Amino acid sequence: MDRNRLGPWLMIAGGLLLLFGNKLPQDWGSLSTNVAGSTVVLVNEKTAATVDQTIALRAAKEFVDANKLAGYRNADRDDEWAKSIVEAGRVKKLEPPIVAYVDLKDGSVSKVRKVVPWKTSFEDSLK
Amino acid sequence: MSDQQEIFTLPDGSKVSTGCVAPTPAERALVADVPVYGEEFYLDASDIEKSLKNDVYKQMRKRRQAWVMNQANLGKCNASATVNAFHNRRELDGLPHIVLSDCYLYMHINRGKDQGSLLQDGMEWSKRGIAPRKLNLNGESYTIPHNIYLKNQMPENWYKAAQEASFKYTTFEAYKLPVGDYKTFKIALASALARDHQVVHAWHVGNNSMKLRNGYAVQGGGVGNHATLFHSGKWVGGEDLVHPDIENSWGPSLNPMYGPTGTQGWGEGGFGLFTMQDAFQCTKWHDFWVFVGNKVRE
Repeated sequence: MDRNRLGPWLMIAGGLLLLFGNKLPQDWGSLSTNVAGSTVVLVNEKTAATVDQTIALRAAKEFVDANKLAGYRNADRDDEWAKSIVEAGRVKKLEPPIVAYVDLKDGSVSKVRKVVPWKTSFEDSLK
Repeated sequence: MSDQQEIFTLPDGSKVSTGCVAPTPAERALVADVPVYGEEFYLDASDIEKSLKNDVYKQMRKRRQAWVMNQANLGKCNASATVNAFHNRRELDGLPHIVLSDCYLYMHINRGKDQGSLLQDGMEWSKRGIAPRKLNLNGESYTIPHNIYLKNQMPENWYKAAQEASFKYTTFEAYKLPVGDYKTFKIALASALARDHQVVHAWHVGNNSMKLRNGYAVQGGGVGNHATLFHSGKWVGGEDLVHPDIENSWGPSLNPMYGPTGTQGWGEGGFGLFTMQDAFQCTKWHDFWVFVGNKVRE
């Protein structure tokens, strides 16, 4: 395509960006489009899992499947494995129980994508 | 064979063993300082009901049926119960299902003979790690047999590989269930099961224990010769709150990785209910252990 023909298309694209750009997801937005393939982690106090958390863990596989996630983990705050998640939480002034989306490489956390406080369920915490 | 290790015959004619050794007062004193599953864990009755109502234990049986173990005539019940606790908690913690070797655990806690083991030794060893049954080394693989109880029954190189692999499969601190009085015991056990924490316990098996009665295990009189796992519980309300559900290790095993197959096994697919009073019976002689979760190392 020569430059003369490309011009109008670029103008249309620019116009669309101006119109809808500020309505595109700014942070995490839609779960399936932004974190599909990530693993959802509940980082907890080892002694103090609530009944809601227990029930959520029983149903975690369904949550993972429904949201096209790679898997889930229940980790203790003192577990070396969860260290980077706990740190990412602290940056946001959050203490466990927290929920995070992470990427794993060779079983370890390679990237923490999102950290939010635990509410009453995975759905509730992450919406 | 010790007094605690007896061979019983299930209704289908298959033989199964017990093997839970009661500690001496001196041995029990060795774990006096181990943390107790205390008040910070206890739940209100309403929360226990919320977690265990609608026969949740039946869903948990279904999830765990494929992993029911068969110890056959080896006295490794305590090791099998502990491995069951690992399997169940790993699944809830989102970890891949890896079949762990109850024989690996048993060979470290039986004091050199197939004579059963102490519950406390099983839990202590869980902090060090339990090896998977399937091992890999330099492109070769090896499956730890289901019927061994000594280290030297494994090739030395594979024993070392098992030791190396075991460090990935450990638990957090194990807790003692409070057994001083029935009321505290009941709240602690009901709370543990409502939290899906796994409880390794002892009960006394007699000849009348081979079949369930109306879905419930029948306990004999004695100090407790068999270890099994309370993996979940049935909300019953009233004074009892919860009736714990046993995951036994007498089959039916559906896959040779969990022990000999082809038997009808015990109870309802390997499971059976217990009353709270029956659960308390052997606390006079044994400390029961609560397994709260796995360390994530993969």
